[in-house]
Amino acid sequence: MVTIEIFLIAGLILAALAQPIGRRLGSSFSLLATLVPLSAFVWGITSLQTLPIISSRPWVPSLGLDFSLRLDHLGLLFWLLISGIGTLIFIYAGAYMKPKELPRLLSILSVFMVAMLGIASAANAITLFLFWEITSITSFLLIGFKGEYENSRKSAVQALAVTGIGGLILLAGLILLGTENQTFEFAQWTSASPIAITLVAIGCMTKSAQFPFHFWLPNAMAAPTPVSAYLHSATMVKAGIFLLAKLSPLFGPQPALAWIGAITLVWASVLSLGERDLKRILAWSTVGALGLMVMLIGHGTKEAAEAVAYTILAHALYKGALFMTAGSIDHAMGTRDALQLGNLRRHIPTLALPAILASLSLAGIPIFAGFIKKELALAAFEPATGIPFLIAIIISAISGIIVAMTLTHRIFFQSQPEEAELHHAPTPGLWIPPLILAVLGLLVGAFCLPIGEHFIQYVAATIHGSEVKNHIALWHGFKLPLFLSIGAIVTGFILNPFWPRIRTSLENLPKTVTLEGSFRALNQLTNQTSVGITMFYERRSVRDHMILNFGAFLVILGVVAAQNPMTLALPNGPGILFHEVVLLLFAALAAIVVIFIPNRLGAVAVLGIVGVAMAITYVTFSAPDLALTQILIDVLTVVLFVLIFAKLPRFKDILTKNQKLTNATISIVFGSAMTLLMLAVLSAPQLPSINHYFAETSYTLGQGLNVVNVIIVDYRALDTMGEITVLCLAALGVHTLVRLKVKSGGQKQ
Amino acid sequence: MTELAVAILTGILFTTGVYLLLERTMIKFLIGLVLLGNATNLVVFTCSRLVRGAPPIIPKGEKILQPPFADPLGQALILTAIVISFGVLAFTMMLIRRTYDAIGSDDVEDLIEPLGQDLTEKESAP
Repeated sequence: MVTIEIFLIAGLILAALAQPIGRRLGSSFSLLATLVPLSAFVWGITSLQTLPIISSRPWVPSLGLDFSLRLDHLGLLFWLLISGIGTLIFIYAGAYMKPKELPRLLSILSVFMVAMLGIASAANAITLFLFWEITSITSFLLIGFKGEYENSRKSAVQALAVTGIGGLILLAGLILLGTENQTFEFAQWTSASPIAITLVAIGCMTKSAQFPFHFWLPNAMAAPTPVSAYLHSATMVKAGIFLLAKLSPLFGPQPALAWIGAITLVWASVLSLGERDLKRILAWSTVGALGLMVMLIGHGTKEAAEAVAYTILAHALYKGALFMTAGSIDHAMGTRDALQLGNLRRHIPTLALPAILASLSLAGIPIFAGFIKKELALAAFEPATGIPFLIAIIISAISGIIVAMTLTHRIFFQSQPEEAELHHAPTPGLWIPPLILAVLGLLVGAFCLPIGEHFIQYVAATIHGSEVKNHIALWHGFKLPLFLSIGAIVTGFILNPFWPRIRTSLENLPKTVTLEGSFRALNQLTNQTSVGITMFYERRSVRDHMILNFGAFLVILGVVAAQNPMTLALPNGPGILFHEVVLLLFAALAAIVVIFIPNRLGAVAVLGIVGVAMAITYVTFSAPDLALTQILIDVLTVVLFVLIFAKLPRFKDILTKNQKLTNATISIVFGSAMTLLMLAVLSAPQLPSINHYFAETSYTLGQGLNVVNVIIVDYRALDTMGEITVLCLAALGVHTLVRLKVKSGGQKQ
Repeated sequence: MTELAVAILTGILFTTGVYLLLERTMIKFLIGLVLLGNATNLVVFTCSRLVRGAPPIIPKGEKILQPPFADPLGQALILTAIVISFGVLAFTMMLIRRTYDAIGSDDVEDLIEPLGQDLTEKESAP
């Protein structure tokens, strides 16, 4: 089957076309763009009976790597969530974003969607990792979407740093697993060493915001709301859950993972009560839900697998709806501060229904999907052995009630002292998508159990590795989960009136206790160190820089010379002739005079003399081509100097005596070192040369009598091409500089 | 002897070139660049041995070059180097000229800007 790949490619084409087409169509483009996720969703529904869908093609044959895809039930669950919620998010984004920003957002979202679909269907560890990294990068781009704001940039970098480092750790784990099992195909993995499991788990924990890596997720709320709803609640953050679930049959129960999940669940549930920004409240609640999933996966029983499968679905439905609602409230009221919002039922009645339905599900009220999710999670732990986990779930349920009450009763039905006023009423695109999700949450809970049960059981079987046949129902009878549930709901309602007081006491907690502080400190330390190092060698003065460079060169040369003693013998070349002595003296004299001439034109003229002396030296020692070139270039140089610098002032004597002394010392040492180096080379025995080959073949092969010419245009023709390119670039640079408009006589500091 | 003499000349060219590169006046810097280029070419030229009166050109009517002959490879390398350094020089010249137009000075120390200006943050998110 190639269908999966067709959808991946279609998404990429959409990403490429979003900018050129989207700019012309404006907001309506988002409706057109939904065709891709919608068709993927419909295809996903229809292919339910034909699972698993497998496709494989060679990717890097030399490394034995295949680009292989395999969509199983777990993958299809994610596929449907990604494409289904993606469809709604695209519509929502069309109403939420400014038309100018929409094409860019949809373009990145499409790439992200492709990457997520790729993760859901990857059958090969390297294929999965490729898509995994794309989601990290697109997440970075989307969190930093409003790059003009400092906290967007910082949050984006933070998210990228955490998930990026996590990605590298994951890669190490996957490669370990790959080498242990001699293949990168998931299906053929049979063994896993503890170290590989740990590495993979850490990678998944960073992606799915598990304690202590969770802090990036609430900060990621700097992204536009469609992004928060899509990436940071419904899909991307569940990639870690997905991989853990996918590898769960291989890894088996992992108590440590269960504990990490439990800590995350409790911690995030408590902190969700300490926020006033609706999106941040929801973000903490998301972290908690992810913790619950990790806890269940770590627990590893059949019941837990079923609870995970159901939680993934239920959470995506209500949290996606709540995020979109929060964004719409922000859009309509100009704030998402829970303390400034009140009486929303009068301002924005259309948003009340999705908010209430989704909040009921979040709160775990019977007949909603959230209720079943909670019941299944509670039923997954034995009362005897799992007390800490049961307590964690109950704490999260209590916190869920308070959050749900804040999101509905408080902001929609109560009055606040300083209430925000309505900016503009929400358009249908802002309330229909969350409503659809919220209603689905009700349907999945109340009415679709007979149909959905089998699918969830299949997903659970994929997660657990063997058949799962536990009945999912609204009514399990008067058993412990029900009593715990009722207890949690009652406690939640009792505590709810105290929320403002709880909130203020929790408000300052997160910054002091989490890794975020260490992350910031590390960040600062890195910056300071790199600035320090840079400022040490980058002295910001050309002269200091030059001194450093030549000084370093001399030190290195000295070290090398000390380690490799060279014999210096006077070269036994030809004896020197009188006219050569005169010529060389003349050149040396001219070079020295250049330093002392105070007059610019004079200096350039003497520089010309040095060039002529060079040319005569070339002629004397059998290099007519060099002489010709040298003369030509020499003349051009002098002419250019005069043309370009005609109107500059005379040289100023800027350097102090001491500086001049430094210059003289460095340059004399440098010059002497070069002379000695040359003598060392000349006294060493001459190595065999390729010259004879050129001498013998330049006519027979290159059809040229001038061997130097043949070397340049034949043997080293590519080199000459490069040379011509450099000249062209220099010419282009000069041309640009000539045409560049410079504010003349600018300010001298 | 000849090679010793040329090596000494090369050393002198390096000395003057480096001295000028360490100056603060931009045009002296340029002149230093030219001298440094010449000196480097002489290193390559001399180290492929100096030969008098035997240019690497095949006489008319013959097919191969009979030794002794001057090293054609070293010459080819220098030929490339001369041309390239001219290209770089022309660009640097123009760059320095425009810099002078912009800052009104030919002192390289005047190029230094106060630290940290481009690092200041302007605003934070809503």
